[in-house]
Amino acid sequence: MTILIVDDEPVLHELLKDIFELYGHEVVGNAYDGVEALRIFRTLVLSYKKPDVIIMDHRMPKKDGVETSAEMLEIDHSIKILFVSADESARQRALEIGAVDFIKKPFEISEILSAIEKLTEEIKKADQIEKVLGG
Amino acid sequence: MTINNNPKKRRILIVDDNKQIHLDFKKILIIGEEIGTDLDKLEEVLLGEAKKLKHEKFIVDCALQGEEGLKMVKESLKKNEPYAVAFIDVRMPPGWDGIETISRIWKVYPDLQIVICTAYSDYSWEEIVEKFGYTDKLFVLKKPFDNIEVRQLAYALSEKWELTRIANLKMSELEKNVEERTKKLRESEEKYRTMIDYSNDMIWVLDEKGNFLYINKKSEEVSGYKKEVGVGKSFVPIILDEDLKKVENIFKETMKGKPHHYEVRILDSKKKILTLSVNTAPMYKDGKVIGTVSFGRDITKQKQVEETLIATNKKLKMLAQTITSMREYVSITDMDDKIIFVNQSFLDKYGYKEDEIIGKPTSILRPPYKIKGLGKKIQSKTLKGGWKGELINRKKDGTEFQIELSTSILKDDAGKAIALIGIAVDIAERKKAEEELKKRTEQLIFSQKELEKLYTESEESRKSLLSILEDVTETEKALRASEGRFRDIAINTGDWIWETDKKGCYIYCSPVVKQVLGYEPDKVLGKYFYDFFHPDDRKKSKKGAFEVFKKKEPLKNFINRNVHKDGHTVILETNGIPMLDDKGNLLGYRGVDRDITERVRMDEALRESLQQSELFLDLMSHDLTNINQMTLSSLELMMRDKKLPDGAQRYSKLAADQIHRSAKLISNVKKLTTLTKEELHLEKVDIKPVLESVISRLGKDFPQRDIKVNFKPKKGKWFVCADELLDDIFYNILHNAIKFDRHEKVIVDIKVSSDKDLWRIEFRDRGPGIPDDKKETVFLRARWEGRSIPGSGLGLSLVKAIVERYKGRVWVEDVVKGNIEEGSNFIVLIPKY
Repeated sequence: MTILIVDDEPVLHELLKDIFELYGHEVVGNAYDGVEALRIFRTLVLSYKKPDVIIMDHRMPKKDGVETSAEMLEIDHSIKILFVSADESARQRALEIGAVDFIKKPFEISEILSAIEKLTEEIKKADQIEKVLGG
Repeated sequence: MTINNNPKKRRILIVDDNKQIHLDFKKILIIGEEIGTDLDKLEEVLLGEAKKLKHEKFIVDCALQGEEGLKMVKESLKKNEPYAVAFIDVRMPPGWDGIETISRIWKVYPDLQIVICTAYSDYSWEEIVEKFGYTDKLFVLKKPFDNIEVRQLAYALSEKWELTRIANLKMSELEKNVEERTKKLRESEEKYRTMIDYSNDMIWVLDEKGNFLYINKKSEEVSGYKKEVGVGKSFVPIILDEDLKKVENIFKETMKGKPHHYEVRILDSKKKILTLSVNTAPMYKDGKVIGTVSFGRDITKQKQVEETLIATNKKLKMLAQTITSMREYVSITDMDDKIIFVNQSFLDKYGYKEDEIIGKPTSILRPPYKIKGLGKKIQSKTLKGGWKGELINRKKDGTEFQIELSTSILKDDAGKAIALIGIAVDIAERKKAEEELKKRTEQLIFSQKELEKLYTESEESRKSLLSILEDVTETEKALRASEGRFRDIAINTGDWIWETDKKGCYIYCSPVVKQVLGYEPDKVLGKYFYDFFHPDDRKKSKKGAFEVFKKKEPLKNFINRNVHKDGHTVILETNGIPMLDDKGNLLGYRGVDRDITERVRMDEALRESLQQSELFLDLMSHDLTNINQMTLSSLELMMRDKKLPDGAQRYSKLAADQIHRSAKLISNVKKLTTLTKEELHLEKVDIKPVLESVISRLGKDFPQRDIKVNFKPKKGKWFVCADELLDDIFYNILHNAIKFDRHEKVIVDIKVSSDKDLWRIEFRDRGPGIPDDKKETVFLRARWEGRSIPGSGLGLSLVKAIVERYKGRVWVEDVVKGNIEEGSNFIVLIPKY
């Protein structure tokens, strides 16, 4: 899986990168606020390198996670956004706008990995359906 | 005579009274030996064929007399073809003899080499020497002369003449050159001296000690010190004390070979301070600095001008700043009615940017339908001294507004008008105020009339009352006593008691009003209640009050802002009851006002501080959670490292558990705050799935523990009125039970039953139990002064808070009454939906 991490905590970026890489995923971008996230996301989409998953914090400078996600989903409605936030009050809105899941901080490695695993399965299934329909 | 331009041919003059001798000389000197004595050929030569001969060396001219010879010499000089040698006979009757001729010729041409030809010695050599002195230009040839001798003499002497001539020529050239150079030098020296002397710059030279060696006229003129007085003296005394050190340093530096430019102030002969701009350079002789030369210029006036300019600029700047910061709209237009400056207020008001308005005619500011040529009219009036008037102006967006414009004229030094200044004020506000005033005056007049009417009415009723009063003296007495009592109460209470008529005009006022609004009671009487309202609320509060008046209802806790006599705001809580006559008509109101300013202020401060602490809590818990997250992830990554020693693994696990605890604490604190803060939106929730969900998560929450939860729900739904926090009730009770149970296998029994209008949920554990004296405090919220609940994650406090929110109850009992070791039973009652 290719992953874009959006969080204003640089140390968390480092840790998540270690975790994901340990389990064979690839971090393709790091953004530290909503505006930067949108910029990187656009660039990735335009260069046909759309990430499989976006790990999204909610409370960030410039633009919060929910707003950022809404704009991302406008650009590409199929993008999988996985909220990872300490701010539980954002859970409902995040799910309403179309985030795939909301993991509350502090989370355990297994939680985020299983969420990613679930998404991998979904993507695989979707690919298969596409193949069957296409073929 | 022949003229020869060939410079190599020397000219020879023969002066002899014998024509034969002339021929002889020509024969010898022109024809030479080749010709021999052939007379025919000689004749040919003499007749002019000589040019054809190749070896011709001389041009020979002949004169018969000394006078003629002199004439020919003069002639030759005139033509610049002088003779080299002259052969002169001594005896030449009847004219001058040879000696006479020679002396005359030498007077005009001293360079001529002369050979005296004589048959006998008319003059002795001594006589000749006596006559001419020792000379190398005179030779004696004895007759009859040898041809060779003549020719040798001619050759030798002409050669000598030539050399002398060249030498002379060089000498004279040299002399001429020297003379010319000297002249030039003199001229140049003169020129420079004049230049320096009369230079427009001050020039002076100092020796190595700093004494004046030279001062030019300009220096004299500027400083007033004469050359005669100044030269030889030091520069030090004329320098202003403040500048002396600087100038001395510069002098020292210059003496080391470094030129300088500086400004210095000196005292002139009249002790007036002059400022000079000076260039100083070292003066060298043989590579050594022997002094300094300075060029100065009097810049006193320039300095003054500069200073004046700076001051003027400063003034202008201040003026510009003043104009810029003026609240009035200032514009400056040139004589062509083009706007050249506007201030910030102008830009703000009219909505233009500076570059949009500069250069535009003033007509852009006026509505198009207005009088044409108004600009011209204003301009011409302004030129006559100024214009003031009201007119309509227009903003960029087309909005129109009324201004009062005053114009004046800006003139240059020559008194010529160069620009017009306009200062405008928006008079809409003023107009509004004027209208308001007018309205108020009308109202006042009206009220006055009303009052008069009332007075008349009351006079009448008083008269009629008087007649009745006579009959009711007793009643009056009683009333008076009663009134006195009331008055006492009114005076002694902290509240302001009042009474108004049906229009809200105060007809009674207790003295407390002085404390409340600052006015004496008699100043309040006759005023309307709304007169004291805060101007911002007056309209609204007045309307609200009169609505109550209209319905003749009591005034209940009517909060209104008023203005104290000293201007500060007073918040009053008004309570009052309507007074009605027998027929139910409103007579007025009677009531009490309480000053609640302080209370409101405290409430606001409290609310503010609460908001702030919530904000801090929010920020802190968010950031702490992030910190927990990063610590937890780090620990987990560490624990995944198989190479890590057991001890490290164990400690990491311990640390991770503490992080979870901290996370839970943060979460509980947040929830507790939320509970006290806002109204929760409760809805219909089924207890069963919530309970099942909590139970299913226990394994994950305590992966190291062996947990058995006995929960066998019956069919059906157990609806309560709750929200998502229901989960937290069960979660906290169960976590508490497992956490404190030290048995290897943790067993918890859950039982749900119906208890009238409530659902009863019981959680039985096998934990250490809770002593009777702690059975209530376990649910207590931690307090600053007694953080007595050990290991509390606030979990049970949260449980109690949530349950109470749902209008339920929670408590704890022993599983076996009186034996706490058998464990605890937590009982939760929640009203059914």
